[in-house]
Amino acid sequence: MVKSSQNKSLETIAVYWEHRVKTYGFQTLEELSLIEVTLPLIRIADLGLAVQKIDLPEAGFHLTLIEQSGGHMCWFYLLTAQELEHAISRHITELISQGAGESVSLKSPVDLIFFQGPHYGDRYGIAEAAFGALKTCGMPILLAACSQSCIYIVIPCGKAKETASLLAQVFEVPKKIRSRKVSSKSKR
Amino acid sequence: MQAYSAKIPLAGIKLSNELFLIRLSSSSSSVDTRSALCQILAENRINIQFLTGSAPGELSAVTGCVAAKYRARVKELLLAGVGFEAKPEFVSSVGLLSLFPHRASLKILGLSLLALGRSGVPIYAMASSLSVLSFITDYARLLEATKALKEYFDLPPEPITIPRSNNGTQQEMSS
Amino acid sequence: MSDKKLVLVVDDDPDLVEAICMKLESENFRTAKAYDGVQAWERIKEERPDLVILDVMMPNKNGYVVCDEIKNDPQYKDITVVLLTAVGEAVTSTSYTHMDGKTALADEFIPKPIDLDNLMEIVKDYTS
Repeated sequence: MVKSSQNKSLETIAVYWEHRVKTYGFQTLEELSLIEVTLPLIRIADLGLAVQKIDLPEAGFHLTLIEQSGGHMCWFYLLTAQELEHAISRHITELISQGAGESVSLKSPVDLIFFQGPHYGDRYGIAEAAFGALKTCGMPILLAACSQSCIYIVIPCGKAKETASLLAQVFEVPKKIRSRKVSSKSKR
Repeated sequence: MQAYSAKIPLAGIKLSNELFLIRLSSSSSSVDTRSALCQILAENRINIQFLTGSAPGELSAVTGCVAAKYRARVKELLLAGVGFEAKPEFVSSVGLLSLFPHRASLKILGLSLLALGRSGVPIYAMASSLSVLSFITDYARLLEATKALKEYFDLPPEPITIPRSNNGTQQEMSS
Repeated sequence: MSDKKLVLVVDDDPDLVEAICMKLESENFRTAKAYDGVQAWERIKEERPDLVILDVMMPNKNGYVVCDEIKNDPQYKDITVVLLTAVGEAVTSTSYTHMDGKTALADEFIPKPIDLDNLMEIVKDYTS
């Protein structure tokens, strides 16, 4: 069954399922740094002010996410190049870490694997396929996001290649897997 | 709110149809809330339109969004006791605001958080993808959030939206 | 003006546009981006691209229409158009039928999901 819609100023959608989910290929980035900030929700604007003021050449992010605790606190994550971790975390700490319960911490080094496919948001079971494949083999997941047509998974350092081969058992990928170590000069 | 002096040009904003937010958290990082949620939704053939999962400190947390039409069914499935030690919470009407392209820029990330934080619209979750910053906020406040972002970013006049029928569900055109 | 060839990538999936552009830039191309048919024409008029990679299913103006407009415009008809046709065998019919595709004037048709390495080979063939 196929359903689609298209109209002026409207987004196109397609809803369907494949037995073996296609991807545009896996990308892995190794030896990154994960900055975790805990702060009250009412301080989101202060966090934004701090982040937008970071004036470091070549500073960028590979992944960022926010989750709420369900109470009045939230967790903000920024995955960046290792050589930027201290400068960025110091900058954020100076500007926001003033109140009770607020903290800035680092997990470093970590690896990242990400991949995308057509209309991932329109199909069920894709996240389950990815996480299930890793869980079966006991691969720890430090952070995960399924957003737009991408899936991002942060894993412990040295696990990127193993993770890629586990995922390749359940996802269809082009032959080449692109992998590289990251410096601050290559943002993505 | 004062407009930012030099707005950053961006290609666009997309607004989703109405979604239902599920949050599972556990005080133990050994409880796999992410797998629990994904498994239930996959078994029931429900698309996940957005998902974040983290393990801050000793905790385990996952936030997922599905189409609003699944609200009752998902709530029932999760509250029926699915065999894991996690506390489910729900927000019944949320929407996804997608800002693009983010260019991996801390300036764009920071200004978007500043804009939404100052406007007072809630951010239930956020995640980046290759090119997009996606924010989950109240469905009824998506346009307010869009307006707040326009204070800092130079954006097309109208956001891209998915068509809605009178009952708020997504219109689909069969062929 | 750079000697590098300019490729315009048009798709309503911003992540796919980014992925294709990253790959093209790694292969020494310059890139321009658009997310619907109207923006595609804006980019084309700003700077004439050597090649356009054009998705079919897009808001505002679909890829078939943009393709035919390019190919019927005396000023732009020589631009190579690579059309990314919709979702292949998984979708048996959509509001954009394959018949539409056959009557479009694109230089090349590639079914989605694309293989980026294959796409690069096609782009190099047409721009060399």
